[in-house]
Amino acid sequence: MSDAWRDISEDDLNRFVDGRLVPERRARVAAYLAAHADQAQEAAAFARLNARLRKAFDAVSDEPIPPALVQAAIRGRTCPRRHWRRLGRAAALVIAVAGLGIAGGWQLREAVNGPASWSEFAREAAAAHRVFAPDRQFPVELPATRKAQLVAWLSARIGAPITTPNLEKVGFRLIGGRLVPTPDGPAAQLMYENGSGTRITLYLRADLRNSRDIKFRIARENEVNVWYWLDGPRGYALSGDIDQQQLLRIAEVLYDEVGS
Amino acid sequence: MAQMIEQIPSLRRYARALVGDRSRADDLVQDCLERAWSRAHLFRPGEDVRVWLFTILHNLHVSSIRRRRRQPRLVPLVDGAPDPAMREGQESAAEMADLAWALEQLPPDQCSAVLLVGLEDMTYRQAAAVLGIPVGTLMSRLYRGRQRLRALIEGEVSVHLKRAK
Repeated sequence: MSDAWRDISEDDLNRFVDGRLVPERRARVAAYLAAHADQAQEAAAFARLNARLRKAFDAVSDEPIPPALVQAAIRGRTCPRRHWRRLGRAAALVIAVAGLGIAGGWQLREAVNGPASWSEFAREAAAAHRVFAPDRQFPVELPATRKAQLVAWLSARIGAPITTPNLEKVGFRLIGGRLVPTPDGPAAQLMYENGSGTRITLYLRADLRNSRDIKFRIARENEVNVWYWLDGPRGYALSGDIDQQQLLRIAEVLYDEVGS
Repeated sequence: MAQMIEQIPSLRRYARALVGDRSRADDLVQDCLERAWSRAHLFRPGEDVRVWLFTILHNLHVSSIRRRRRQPRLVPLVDGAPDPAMREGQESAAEMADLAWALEQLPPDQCSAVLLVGLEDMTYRQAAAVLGIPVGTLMSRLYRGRQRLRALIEGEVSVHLKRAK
């Protein structure tokens, strides 16, 4: 930070975003942001976060207050909790079912087909990786030596043609693949290994009803890094217990290979 | 205590954002209100009721995190039915799930700071009082929490992808 702006701190950015600066100071911070693109982007992102949090949770404060909470506020003690909770659950179910009816087929389909969100998809991939990649005895159901059969079988089961991308230029060789169960049906997993025995897996689904495409995103689940992208009904996730940047280089090769 | 009832909607909102699950969030609020009554003699006249209640809720939440850390965690992945609170103009179920996931990834102390200020619109002084930390500490947790949340949500990298074709 140059000397001219030495007086600007992270606190100013917080205060700017939260609208807690006196007008003069606000003008000064605004001038600083006008001259610093990265910080300006950060401030804008922070403001979007605030808006998004309110948009997501404000509805909760508009809901009718559960009677048990009113009682707790009045008397500090409530009738046995199990009782009202059961009632509440029944009521919630009725409302949810009614809501489903009103929302109609679209939302129902959304709820039935495919993970609830992109992060869910990445989580599935990471879980499958954690289970099968460390297995030294039976990491795959069909080995790469029976590639034609593997491709035909997985394509038939997930309902879309798949290929086995060639990752040899980044040092990984296909060792085989398997089916992986998801709540919606089968997904496919292809496993690759390099010379030092490190394994990465490509997780594939072709039944996603996602409303938007997702470009490369990273997720981290326990020790597993996952790069994934969604392209119409198809979802691809590359998982590995290796450095994000290294995994990204492989993912880029993969992306070109699948050329979806 | 009318002032307590007044705070319930915002306690519920904060708890929902904090723990995600509806019934767990309401349990937390209920525990908070019961605890508030049992500690009513400790409330000093003129004290900020809002800060007082949120402090109790925060402490209960922290101890429940500690308890849960000792047990294996089972997180429901997909809840199936959409939340009854869902309505037009609100975030879609997928967006909600993503936001809830991102909040869950935040260290608890950063998460609380981000929510108290960003969602509950507390002053820095109030939020610091709730968390029992100096204002300066709150400010830096807030900043780091926001950076982290941004990275989690906008985790999309802008690598330029060439297509071989």
